[in-house]
Formats: sequence, C-alpha cells, structure tokens
Amino acid sequence: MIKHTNFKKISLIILIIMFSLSLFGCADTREIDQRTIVIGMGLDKTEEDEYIVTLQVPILVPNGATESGTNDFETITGKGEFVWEAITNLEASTPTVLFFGHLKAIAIGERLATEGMDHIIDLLDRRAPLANEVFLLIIRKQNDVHDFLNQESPLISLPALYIDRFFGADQKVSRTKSVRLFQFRRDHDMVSHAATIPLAYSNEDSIFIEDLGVFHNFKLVGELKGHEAGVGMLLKDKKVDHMNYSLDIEQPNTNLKASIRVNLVNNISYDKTNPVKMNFNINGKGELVYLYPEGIYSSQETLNKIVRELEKEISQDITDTINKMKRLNVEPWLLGHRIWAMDTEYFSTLNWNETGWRDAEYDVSVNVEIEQTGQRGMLDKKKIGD
Amino acid sequence: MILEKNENKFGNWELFVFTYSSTIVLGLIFLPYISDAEIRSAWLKVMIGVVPYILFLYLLFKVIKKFNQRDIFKTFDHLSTNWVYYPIMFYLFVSTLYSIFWGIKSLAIVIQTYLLQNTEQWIVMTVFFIVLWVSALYGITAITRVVVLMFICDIVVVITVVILIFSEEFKWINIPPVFTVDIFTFMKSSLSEMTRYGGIIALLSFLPLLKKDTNIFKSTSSALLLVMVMYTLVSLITLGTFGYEQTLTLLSPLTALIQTTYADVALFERLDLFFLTIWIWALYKAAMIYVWFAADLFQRVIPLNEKKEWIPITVIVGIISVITMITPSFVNLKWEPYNINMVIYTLALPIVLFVYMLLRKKQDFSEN
Amino acid sequence: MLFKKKETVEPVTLSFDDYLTTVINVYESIPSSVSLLKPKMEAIFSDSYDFSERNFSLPSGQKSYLCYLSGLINEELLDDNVIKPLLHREENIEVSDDFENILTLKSFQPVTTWENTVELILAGNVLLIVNGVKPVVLFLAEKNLRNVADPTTEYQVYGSKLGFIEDSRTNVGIVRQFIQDPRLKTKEYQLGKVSKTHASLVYLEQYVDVKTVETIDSYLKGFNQKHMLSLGQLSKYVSRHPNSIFPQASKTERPDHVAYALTQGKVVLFVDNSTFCLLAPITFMDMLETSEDHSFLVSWNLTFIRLVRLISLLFGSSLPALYVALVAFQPELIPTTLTINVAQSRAQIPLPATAEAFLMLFALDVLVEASIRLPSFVGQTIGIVGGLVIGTAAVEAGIVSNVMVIVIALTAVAIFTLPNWEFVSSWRIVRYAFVLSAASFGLYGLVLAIGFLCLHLAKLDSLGRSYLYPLTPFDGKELKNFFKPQR
Repeated sequence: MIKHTNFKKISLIILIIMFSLSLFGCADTREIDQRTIVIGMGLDKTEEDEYIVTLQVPILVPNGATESGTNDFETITGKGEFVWEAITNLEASTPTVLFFGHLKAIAIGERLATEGMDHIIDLLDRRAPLANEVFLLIIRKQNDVHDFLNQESPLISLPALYIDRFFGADQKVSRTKSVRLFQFRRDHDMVSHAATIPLAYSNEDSIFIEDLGVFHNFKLVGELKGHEAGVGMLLKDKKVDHMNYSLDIEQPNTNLKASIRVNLVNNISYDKTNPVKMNFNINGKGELVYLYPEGIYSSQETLNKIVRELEKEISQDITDTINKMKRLNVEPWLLGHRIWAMDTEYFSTLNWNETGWRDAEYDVSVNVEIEQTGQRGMLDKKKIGD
Repeated sequence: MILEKNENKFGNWELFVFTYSSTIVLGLIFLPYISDAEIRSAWLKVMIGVVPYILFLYLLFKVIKKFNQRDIFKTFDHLSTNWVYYPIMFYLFVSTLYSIFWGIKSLAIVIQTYLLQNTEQWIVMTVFFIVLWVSALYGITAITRVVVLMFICDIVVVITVVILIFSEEFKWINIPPVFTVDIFTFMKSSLSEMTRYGGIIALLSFLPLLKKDTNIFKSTSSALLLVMVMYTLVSLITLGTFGYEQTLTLLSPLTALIQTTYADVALFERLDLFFLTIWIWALYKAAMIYVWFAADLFQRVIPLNEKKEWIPITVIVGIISVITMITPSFVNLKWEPYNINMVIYTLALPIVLFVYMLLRKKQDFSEN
Repeated sequence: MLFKKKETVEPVTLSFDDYLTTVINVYESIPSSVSLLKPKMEAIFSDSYDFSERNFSLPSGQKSYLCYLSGLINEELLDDNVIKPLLHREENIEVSDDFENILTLKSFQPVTTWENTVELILAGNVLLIVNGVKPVVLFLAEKNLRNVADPTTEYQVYGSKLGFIEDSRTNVGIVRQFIQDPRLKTKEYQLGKVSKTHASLVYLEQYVDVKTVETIDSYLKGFNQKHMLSLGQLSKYVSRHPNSIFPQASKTERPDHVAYALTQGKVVLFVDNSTFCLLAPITFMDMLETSEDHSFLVSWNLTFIRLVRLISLLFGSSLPALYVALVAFQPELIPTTLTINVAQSRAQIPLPATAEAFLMLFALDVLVEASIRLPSFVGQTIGIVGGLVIGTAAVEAGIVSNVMVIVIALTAVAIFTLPNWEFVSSWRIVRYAFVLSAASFGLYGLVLAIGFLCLHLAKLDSLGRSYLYPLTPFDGKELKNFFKPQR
C-alpha cells in the first residue's frame, strides 16, 4: 500500500507519463482519409522483365459533391525491378499512403503466371496488413492487367468489389472456383505441389470470370475449361453443386433435348497396387429443367434414357479431365495427398510426382437420380376429350 | 438478496477461472508450432503434455492433505533447511520474472505486427508496464475478480474455436498422417508443448487464499483439461485449415484463421483484430497474476509489512521493463532455453519437492 | 491500495464546546436564579436578533424568565400551555417536578449541562426558569416542513407518486408505511459539530448483513467533521474509495425505491434538510435497475429493458473511442463499403478524427449541462438550437463528418437510458478517457483502458460488498435473478 501523502504525487507522475506517451503514440495515427485505400491490385511482367503493378483505388469525393453518388475509381500503374519497388514507386504518385488493409483481389497477368509467381507469394505472405483472404485471379493474355482493372464493371461500381461479390455468392460457380491466397498456398504445399486459380478476362462491357488455371510449382501449366472446372471440384472437394448439362439424344423422329442441373457427390477409394488404382464412385441428384420436344413427357422411360445419357456424359467429362491433367503430369486435386495422408509408406513407393500420377489407373462409376422434374408447372398432364 | 459472506475468500469457480486464465496465454496465440523444429501432429503432443501436470496437481493435492496446510511454501519451509529453501525460492522468483518477460516480449511482437506497425517498441511497452504496475498494486482480490469477470471473453473464444471446426475450410484430410517420427523425437519435441501448461505454477501462492470447503483437485484439473481441449482444438483447426507447411510459417495461426474464416460473416471486416484484443486481455490478466505471484515469492524471502507491498511490485515491474527495453526490438524468439527452463521450473522442480514432502513424516502444519 | 482514503482526519476547527468556554464557565452548574442565568444566556446568544426572551412574575411573586429562538417554536403552544397556566398559579413553585401539575405540555426536562441546554435551545426548544427552581427545557420545537409531494427528479411512468421531504423523521415514517414490520430498525445520529444535522439509519433486520450495519454504524459514530450539509458529503464519507469516479452509494427520493432496496438487504440513510436518501451497499448492477422495472406485467419486459440498458452502457461509453480507433488506426476492421463511405464523409473535414470526437463530446456535454438547470421551456429551446447547430450546421459547414454526428448522437442517447444520473456522469468521464487512450494507441490503447477499468470496478466495494457482484464474485442464481426475477 502506498502512503497517502504520496498518493497524489504518484498519480500526478503517472498522468504526466501517460500524457507524454500518448504524444509518442500518435506515430500510428493515420486518418482514414489520409490513406489511399487499395482494393484491387494487378501484377504482371513487361517484356523487359520488369514488374508492373496496377492499383485500383476509389476516388474519395465528399458526400453530396457529385449528383450520381457512385464510387469512381482510378487505376495507377508503376514499374520496377522488384514488385515491392514497383509499389514504392507508386507511392510517389499518390497523395496519401497506400493502405492494403482492404485489398480484395489480386489480378495476376498470364505472362507472370507462366513464368512463375513464387516471388509474389512471398511478398504477399510477409506483409501483415494484407489479409490472408484476398482472391487471386489470372488475367488472360488478351487483356492487359491494367485494362482489366480499369474496366467499368457492370452493376457494381468498383471492379474489385465486383470480384468480391462474384465469389461471395458462390452458388453459381461450377465453372470456376474462387481461390483465396491462403487456399492457394495450402493446396500448393501438398504433396503434388499443384493448385488452381480462376481465369478472367474482360471485353468492352463486362468482366468474365470462368475456367481455372492449373499451377505446378508456382507456374501456370494448363487450364481446366468449362465442365472440367466443375469436375475438378468434384475430384478435390468430393462434391460439386449445380453442374449444368444439356443433352441431345438421338431418337428416331426428333432428337430429344434436355437440360439438367445436377449436384454430384464423389466417393473416392483406391486399391493399393502399383501403380495405384483409384475408384471414383459418383452419386448425383438432378433436376430436369428443360425438355424438348413437346409431347414427350418426363415418363420413367424418358427419364431413364436421359439419366443413362447423362451418366455417360459425366463419366466422359471426368475421364477427359483426368487424362488432360495426366498428360501434363500435374495433379491439382489432392488425390495424391489423400493417399499420402492415409498411408505414407505406400505413397512413397508410388513415386507420385514423377510417374505415380501419370501411370495411375482409375475407374469411374456414375449414378444419377432425377429428383425433380420441375414441379412449378406440371407439364405432364394430358387433356382428355376436347 | 442476502449479502455474501467471506467475499474476500475465493471458491471453486474462482479457482477454476484462475487456473484457466493463468495457463492459457501464449499457447492460444502461438500454438501449434512454437519451437524451431516441429512435427506435424502437434495436437497429439498437446494432449500428452497435460499428463505430467495432472500428476503435478495430484501430488500437490496429496501434500496439502498430508500436512493439512494449503500453503505449500510454508510446509516446504518447515521441512527444509534455509540453504535449500532460499535458493529454491530465489530460482522460482527469477524464473517467474523470465516467463513474464517472455510473455510481454511476445505481446510486443504481436502488437507490432498486427496493431501498431510504426510505433516504437519502448512506447508500446512502457504503456503496458505502467498499466501493469498500477494494476498489480490493486491486489489479488481485485485481480481475481477481474479474471472472473473477463472469463466471458474466454467463453467467447471457446465458442469461436468450436464453431471454426464446422467451417468449410476445415478439412480432415490435412490432419493425418498422425505419426511419422520415432517415439524419441516425439517425446523430445513434446517438451515445448508441455510448457504451455506451465502457468499453473501460480496456483502455489493462490491456494492459501481459498475458502475451506474448496475442492482443489477437481477445479484445477478440470480447468487444466479445458485448456488442453482448447489447445488441441486450436492445433487441429489450424492444421486442418492451413495445412502443415503453411501453419508452420504463420506467426499466430489462430489469428490468421479467424481472419480468413469470418471475413464475410460479421459486421466487421476482420475479426482477427478483435480476437487479438481478447488475447491482449488474456495476457494482461496473466501478467497481473504473475507479477502478484512473483511479489508473493519475494515476500516469502524478504518479509514486508502490509504497507510496503508496493515495493516488490515496483521492483518486479521495474526489472522486467528494463530487461524488455534493453533486448532488441524484434528477436527471432529462441524458444529452446525458455522451454527447458519452464519444464524445470513449473514441473520437474515442484514434482521433486512434492515427492520429497510426501516421503517425510506426517505432521500437522495447520494454522489453527 | 490506491483510491483508498485516509483512515483518520484531524479536525482543526474550534468546536462549539470551545466557543462556550470563551463566553461562560461551562464547569459551573446552571444557576437557579433568573438574575444569574439571564446575562449568561444573553452572552451566549449575543448578536442574534431571533433570540427572544420574556420576563414575567408569577402571581406568587416568583420571578420567571423564558428564552428561545423565534421562528423555530410554536408560539401558540407556548402561550396556551406554558404562560397562561403559569400566570394562573397561585402557590409557590418549589421544585421542578411541580411543573408537571402546572404545564399542559407534552414533555419537558430539567437542564443538565450547559452544552446540552444550548443545543436544545438551538433545536427550537424553550428554556424556562422560575427563581429558586432548577431550570427546565420545554419541548416546543416546530420545524418548517412542507407537505409530502411528488418526486421531482426521478420521473417514472408507472411508479408511485410519493416523494420524501426534508425531515428525516417524517421520511422514516413514510418508509414505515411501505414496510410494516417490526424488523424495520432505525437508528439516529447527530452529524457535524456545528451543523448538528439529524441523520437516521434504516435497515431491515434479517435481510441485511450484520457486518454492513456495524460498518456504517461505526462510520457514522466516528463522523467528526464540522458540517453535514449535503448528502454528497455523507456519501463520500461512507465510501471506501472516495477518489474513484464511480459512486459507491446511490441516492433516491422515492419511497418505493427505498422499500425495494431494504428488501434487497441494503441500508438507507436519511439526513435532515435533504429530500434524498442514501442507499448502500450498491453494486454496478443496481445502477441499471429502477424500482419501476418491477411494475411491468410481463417479466420479459424487465429482461429486455435491463439488457438494453447494459448494452447502452457499453455503447455509450466506448462508441466514440471505437470510432477513433477504427478510423485513425485500424480502418481494416471496417467493412470496405463502409470504409469508403466514412472516408468520403471525412474527405473535406479539416480536423482529425480525434479532435472531431473531443469537440463533439464536449459540445454534447455543454449542451446537457446548459439545458439541465433551465426551466423546461428554455431547456427545449437550447435542445433544439444546440441540436440543429451541432447536428446539421456543423456537418454542412464541413467541421465534423456526418458519421461522427451519428456516433455522438447514438452515444448521447444510449448513455441516458441509465436511470441513475450520478452513474451517467461517471461514464461520461470514462468516455473521455477512452477516447484519449484510443487516440493515442488505437485499439491497443482502448483495450488496455477497458481492461484497467474492469480491474478498477472489480477493486471497488461498497460497504464491503464487491461492486461487480453478482458478476464477480460470480453468482449465477443472482445474475439470472437480475435479468429475470422469479415470481
């Protein structure tokens, strides 16, 4: 206990120290309007082997100053021998300090991706203000990264926010798959050192995000297009929702046309042979969304026909996708990791990254069940009489 | 509402919370991979690491029963000679300072990484030390009460961690293989995980303050098991979400995890900083407990009357602040010596003492 | 440790007893003759125009003398019950016991010491002396009291409409109407060497902790200050931590609140000349409740209203600080779209967020303070002018951002949901401290400040009971009872 004659003195001293410290503490004060909020970043390489960095920043107009009230944005570009150098060069051309706390998406040029992006990943990993959950995108060669980020996106004013919303509503994406920075790193760290990043491009009036780029050892080596992206999800996450198939089944009179949306679940097992034999046992539930021609009802017989055709199609897609990756000798679906995790010793006999995957055998069995035939309109009912 | 009697004495709930809060500090933010070299299945080590500490509690309980005295240091003083008693007390005192220093150093690193990147370390630390010093002067009653009050935050963390298991990112496939190293390597690397429970040592000074009818073994061991469950969950979840290689490179896996998972769920963009605030509270609580514990040890060596209680507290905070200031501002923390010392100080030495006391003839040292 | 007050205070004043010794010889017994007593009384009450005397002779020829302080006694009673009977008395009066048969008065007593006599006269009684007989004091005091009226400060919608008045004895009587039980115990004290204020301690035996009564009893017996003129003075005296910014006793002017508090095991202190009484020991949670809460017909309303108050307390104390910390230090915490909005609203503001926050907080408190003491119609005007100026004009002039105005408005409204004004004032101070710490060290500073505040609250106790009870020491049953009382 402190003597009370000293109490006031001591509290006074503490107060003085605290106040003087609070003056020092202001070193980190940086008002929100003194920061240039970077919400999108683009990275690419020029032909001279320089890094080129594009930043997308919103223009801060005071409320009510503009009638439209929309957020305008600006892209700024800088070059440098290192990525960080390019970024610091950019700082010279912005009025306030660059602030990466709200970075939503990083767009990487295809050229850079093909050459290898290990330098970038390290930079992104080290900087603490940068969140781990930024989305990664590969911009196809047809666009400059700068142009892509400069694209007025439809519906949502800031392109980076557009990307954020696009992946946020992940229901629609069976044709691509959002990849966050940490997911890319995690998948890449697994035994087959392969991962995927969605591809994007823009034309004059909109942004397209579809297909997946396949990475091996931080280099872009291939692509998974259309259904292949969905199949990839099926193989990796063991399930995929909302795969869309349109079938054209040959029939004596008119061809039977049907569209089906299907949710698939994959059951993976393997036989411990050398080379390994994997079994993909796929079960699916589908919804019939379109059927043509008129007059052909979704009778059990028709459905069976459709299901058989669908199963064949899915099976074909899977086989094609796997074969495509086998040709590249890249396995981005953690199939090897599954084996390794369950039986490390067996895995080491496979020599997975060199020949194990390329020589692996597999067996696909697909079993789909049509659960819904579109009950909103009962289109199967027949008229009797006039 | 009838006024509670004996409010200054603590009961089962206080003991439980005290044990939990003094133990779960550094582990929460740094687990699973703390030391320089780590095996994949750190969560196993965390589970095994708790066993010796349960033994610690059991022996402690036995000693208390045998001598009918909750003040272990008093029993030890009775049973040993001065030249054994004083060096051991001095060693405990120094080790306590060491562990406080360690905790505060990690606080500095975490603050400078996540919250205040441009502020110099000595400013960040001076603020903390002043607050810590004034807080420690408030005495153990206030400290225990605030620990109980802030347990709400710990409950929030427990719930968060449990929820994280059900997140989409968590994949069981990242967790096996469970065992890829030989048993010796495993045991050796378990040492670092074991020290995560070392905070329990502060109980030795806390037990004499309890009410007579407190169930010591049950409260403390259940708190310790809760800590174990938390550590295991944290280790499993971070491993399951980030995978081994990435988790290994993260400064604070749980912080990174909360950052990634809650991104689009909450009102705030990044919940990790809120998690950090809770952790700062956890560290603040533990630091107060330890300063008080060190002051208690100090007074057992140099008895002081009640009016001079501020002297040891000032000395302790002073020493730690000086050490913190003179060590470099960012050290690549070498956990090895710290871990080894923690094992000796919180586990080996006390257990040896307990066994020694149990072997001695039964006596009654109770006050009344 | 800190914030604990000094144990003893040495009085340096000249006491009333000392004063008497300068005028008369207090060790002498009080004389029984008019000619000796009269000059002494005149000396004691010199320079007091309200000191009244009367000399008269009884029919028996004995000289008599009366003195009193006019304005404090009932003169009609004096006339009818004292002077008239005395003037009709034919026989000699020998001893003071003879007065029993003469005066038609309820009570009187022979004088004992000088101090006592003077005190009794000051209390509004009459000194009567008949030559040769020991003087007596006639109890004729009549205080200036108003009638029991509505409580004016603690407005409630459904509570009773009865308030305390300035007399502690009457107030105790009012409490007895609420709790008709012999266990309702009352003790009385005289506080202050000069002011000699009457105080009464009321508690409900078997509900209250004996230790609490003992503590407060010893505090009051040891009261050694000159004056006891306000309740606040007493409150600071019975608080263990008078330097803390949180009140450790609460005051009320509502008998229903007092009755409820008594059943909760609290003690109540009434002091003369104050329409309020002190309740102790109180806890943090008590500050969130009103006696009116129990008049809800649906118990969930009580749960809801108390949760609202608790959350308002958190918001009202920390929202500006959180705003400063987030805007100036950690904007990555705010959702991106909101960040852009906030940044846009701040784009043309010359002041940094910290200054903005301090400015607005200060303006708010000035507004509150200005309107609080004014008659209600002027108060309204100030409210409107202030609200318009601070709200709209400041934003339009580009001095503060509109987000800041929202934050401050929410803060102001939130904190006033707390029923206890004293408590609200404490939290207003805390708010400034929070903003200061957030302005210096961002979230880190705010976190440390909140942690320290919790510790401080945990340290406080009111008459030996933890301030944060039942949160800590934890009592789940009591906590549940707070939010949802049993039937």
